Amino acid sequence: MTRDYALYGLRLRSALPLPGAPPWAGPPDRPADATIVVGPVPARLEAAVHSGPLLQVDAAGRVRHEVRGIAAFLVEGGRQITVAPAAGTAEGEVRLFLLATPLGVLFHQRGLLPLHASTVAIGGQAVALAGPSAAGKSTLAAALLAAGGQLLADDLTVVDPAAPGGPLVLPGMPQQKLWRDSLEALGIAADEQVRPGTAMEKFVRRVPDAFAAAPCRLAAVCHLGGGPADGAPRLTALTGARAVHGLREQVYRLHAARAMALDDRLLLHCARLAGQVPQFRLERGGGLPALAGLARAVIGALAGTAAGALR
Amino acid sequence: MTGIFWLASYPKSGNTWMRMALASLRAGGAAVDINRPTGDEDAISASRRHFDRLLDITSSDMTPEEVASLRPDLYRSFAASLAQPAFVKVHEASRRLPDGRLLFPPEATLGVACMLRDPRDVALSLSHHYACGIERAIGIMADPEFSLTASTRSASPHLAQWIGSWSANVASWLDDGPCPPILVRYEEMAGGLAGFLAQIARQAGLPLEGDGAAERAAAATRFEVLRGQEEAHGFRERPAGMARFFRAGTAGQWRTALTPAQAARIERDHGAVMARLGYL
Repeated sequence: MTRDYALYGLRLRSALPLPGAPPWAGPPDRPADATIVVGPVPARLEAAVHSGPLLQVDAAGRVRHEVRGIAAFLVEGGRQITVAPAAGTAEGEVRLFLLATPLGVLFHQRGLLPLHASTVAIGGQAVALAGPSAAGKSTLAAALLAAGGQLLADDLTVVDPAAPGGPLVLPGMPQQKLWRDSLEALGIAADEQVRPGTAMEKFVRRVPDAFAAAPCRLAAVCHLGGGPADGAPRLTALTGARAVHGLREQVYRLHAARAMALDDRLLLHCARLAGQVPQFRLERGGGLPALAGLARAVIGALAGTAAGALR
Repeated sequence: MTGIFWLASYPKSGNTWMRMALASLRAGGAAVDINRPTGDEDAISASRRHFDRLLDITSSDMTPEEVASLRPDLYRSFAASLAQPAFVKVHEASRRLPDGRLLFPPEATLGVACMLRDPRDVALSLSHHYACGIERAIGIMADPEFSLTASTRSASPHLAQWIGSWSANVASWLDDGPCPPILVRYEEMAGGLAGFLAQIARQAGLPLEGDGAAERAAAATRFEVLRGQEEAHGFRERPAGMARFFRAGTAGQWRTALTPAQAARIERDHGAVMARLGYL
């Protein structure tokens, strides 16, 4: 049954159920901005300008993505995602991969700036925690929620870089994905497994009561990573070319975006963003036991106080 | 036509030392900073960041089997994108997927250098690295299921790495790898590093022969130099709890550090491969 949802500032019409996504509650006469349909997807794109093992791009900028044994996706014009589930695949697994690469590609096609980041609103200001997989973005975001923050997005953060008044973070799904070790360190429970029936102890955690449902001004970006494994958590300002480069490294699905000939535009977005929004490098130090200190460092940076230990 | 040059070894067999030497070679024999040798964190076979980026996917949402199934395609795709050789460290055994494909595909491979070390010295070095007793290290080396970064409870910056036992790991690269390897014995690195570098450079098609770069690189990365840097500045790759990564760099310490019973146990566990390599 097709439903309309509010996701990343779009009225998203989806034939695939998206439990957990806020239902559309905006103006009833606003047309759908993008649609998700279930239907056949070509086995390959003709005249592909880029062909990787999982993703192809054609001259028109259409993107075909496939996760073998789960589903194939076709993303067109920033307006439509066609989903062809593999036989016998659980809906949850199709959805898991749909809301990642295909959705990120959709926003690239729409000219926005998707980042590989988890973003939390604290006191009406958004701080994006950016970094590669396993850097600890979701876990740190959860710690910030525990400190009173509200989730804007987990893993895929969409920024409107040209919004009047400054870059705006658009609200995503009110849920996170967290591993068993993180859940235990945080002392929180989760909902279902991300991959039911497997040994993977990674879980969906829904947070509708700790969710920022309205777009929020981006006030800081913290780049997680680096530093010795047994060091203390460290927050340092990132400026100039390193800030621009750091931001560009965290563009969501950068490889696909480059294949879509978006490199120049993304560089421009990142350069402008780095000029408007303070960037920081955040070294994790000793991992999970240092979580509370990390959260404090981020809150301090946001407040711009000396307690943020800016160097 | 270029590709991936695999630097393959069971842990604690000289892989890091070789990587430093190669970094120096590619910089014309210049000094290297052990904390920033190549500037390329993706140069390990199991880099999650590299996998996710090149395949445009989130590997931590995939099962280990799904991830493994995509790795040959990843390496082929990576190799096809290269303008010059990529040296990639690998501790994993060369193994085949259920459908028979090699994890590290021949089509993506420029060459293999296999770092070998007497397993009795490996056991000693392993016990320091993991701050565990020698008995435990011997057990790890005999464990056919030994793997790294394969937790089901968290995601590591590395994909799950199946190392296997020392014997199975070494044999896999000698007998069932993407191509016949250049053998680099740890015991010969202190004196013969320049020769090994020249061999690897030839195999990889690096245009560095004849101008002394291999000799300069060997000198710049003498074990004492690396250890000195660690003493002065630390070493980012040293695990928490380990006193020193670049410890001794010599061969045969096992003769005084292992008990006869411990040495006998290793020789029993790994006798066939040890004999084949001349360690017995």
